[in-house]
Amino acid sequence: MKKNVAFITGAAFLLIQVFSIIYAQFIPERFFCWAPYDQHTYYEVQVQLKDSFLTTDAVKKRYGYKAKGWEPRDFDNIISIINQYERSYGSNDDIKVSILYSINGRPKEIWRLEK
Amino acid sequence: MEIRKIISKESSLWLPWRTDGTNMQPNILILCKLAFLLLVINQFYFYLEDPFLPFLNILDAFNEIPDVIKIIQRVLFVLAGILLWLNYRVRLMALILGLVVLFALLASKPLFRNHIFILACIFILAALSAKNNKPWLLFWQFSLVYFGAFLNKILQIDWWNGQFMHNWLLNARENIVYISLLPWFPEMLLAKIISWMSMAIELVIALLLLNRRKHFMAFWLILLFHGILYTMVLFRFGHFMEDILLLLLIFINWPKGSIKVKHKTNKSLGIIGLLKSLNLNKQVVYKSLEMKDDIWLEATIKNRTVTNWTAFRYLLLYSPGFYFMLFGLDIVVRLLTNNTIMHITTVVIMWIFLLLFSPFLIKKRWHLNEKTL
Repeated sequence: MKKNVAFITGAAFLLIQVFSIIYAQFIPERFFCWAPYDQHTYYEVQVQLKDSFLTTDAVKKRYGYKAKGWEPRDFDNIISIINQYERSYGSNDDIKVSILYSINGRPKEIWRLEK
Repeated sequence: MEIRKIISKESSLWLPWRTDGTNMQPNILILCKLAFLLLVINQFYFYLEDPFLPFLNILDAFNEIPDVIKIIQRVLFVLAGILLWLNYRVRLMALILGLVVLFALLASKPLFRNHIFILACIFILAALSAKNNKPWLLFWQFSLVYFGAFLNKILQIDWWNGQFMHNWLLNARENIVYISLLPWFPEMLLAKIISWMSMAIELVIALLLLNRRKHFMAFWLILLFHGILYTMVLFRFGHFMEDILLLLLIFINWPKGSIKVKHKTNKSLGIIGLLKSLNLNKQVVYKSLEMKDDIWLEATIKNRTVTNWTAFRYLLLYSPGFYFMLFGLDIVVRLLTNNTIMHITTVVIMWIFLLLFSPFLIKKRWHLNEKTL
C-alpha cells in the first residue's frame, strides 16, 4: 500500500511537469518546462531611476539577475523577472527600464517597461 | 560477536562510504549522494535565501519574518545531506533535499535553472522509488527532460533554419570546430544539420527511455550524444552535463548478494588492489588461486561467470568507489587546472572510460540478469 502511494505520488509529480510543458506553449515564459537552449539572446538592461542610470552591479542587485550577457533560456524569462519586480517591490519607484536585445543573432530590438 | 564486526558487516548506518543495506538501491543512493555533493560544490547553500520574486506570490509573506525561511532551508539542506551520506533514512532525506531545492526554485524566479531543477526531481523521485523495483519514475523523468527539450525546440523556427545553432556556436561560443568546418558547407547548412540531428536524437532518446528493452540503446545514445557534444563545445551547461551523467546510474542493474571473484596468485596485483579498494560495500569476495594460464581474473555474478577484462569492467561497474573516484577526479581536475585545460583533461578522461567500456556496446553485453531486481 505504501509503495503504491509513493509510486502514485511520483507519477503525479511527473504529470504536473507534463502539464507544465504543455501550458508553457501558450505563454511567453519558459519555466519548469524543460526548455533549455531553445533561444540564445544577447541583452543589456538599462535602468533609469529618477535622473540617474543604475550601474550594472546595481541592476543585478535589483533584479537578482545579471544585467547583461548571453541568456540561454527564453528571453521572456528576463522580462518576466523585471515586470514582477517593478510591479511588486519596485512599484513606487520612479523608474524607466529598457532592454536592448538580439535573439539568436537577429537584428537588435528594444523592450521598454510599461508601468 | 564484536559490535564493530556487526556494524561493518551487517549495517551500513553511519558509514558514508557504504551504499548497501538501505531502503534504496545502491546505484540510486550513489546518485543521490553525488547529486548532493554536486550542489555543495556549486555553492547551492548560498543560494538558499528568503523568497525573492517568487513564482507563488504567497511566499512573499515570509519576508515579514526575515531570515527565518533562509535559515530553515539551509539547516534542512545541510542536515538532510549529511544524514543521507550517513545512510540514515535515506529516502526521507532524499525527499527533504528534493523539496528544499524545489522550494528554493519556487521562491525565487531569478534562481531558476534547469540544471538545478533536474536535481530536485531526481531527489524526489529517488525517494519515491521502491527499492526492489526498477526505478521507472526516474526513467520517465529522464524521458520527460528530453521530450520537453525536443518539443520546445521543434516549435522554434530558428531551430529549423539553423539560426539558433549558427548564432550560438559562432557568436556566443566562438566554437573552433564549427568555425573550421563552416567554409566547407553552403550557407547555414551545417547549422541546420546539427540542429535537426539534435532534435531527432532528443526525440529518439525520449522514446527509447520508455521501452525497457531499448534501455541499452538509450544509455549508449545518451552517453555518446553528450560525450560528442561536450567534446565539440567544451561546455557543461551549468552542471547539466554532470546531472545527466549521474542520472545514467539508474541504468545499472545492481546485483543482490555477493559477487565471488577469483584471481591468479601474484598476478595483476595492481588491478586487484584497485578493485579491492573500490569495493566499499564489501559485496565482492576475493580469493587468490592458481588458475588456468589464460585466465587471471574470474567473477561470478548472478550465477554467470565472466573472465579477465570483462570481469574487470563488471567489477568496476558494481563498485561504489568507482563512481566516487570519478567524481573526485573531476573535482581535482577542476581545482588544479584552468578552463581550457580542465575541459581538455576531462574530455580525454571521458573518452578513455568510454573506450574501456565500449566492448559492452560492441558485444551488446550489459545486464547479466535481464529481470528486474
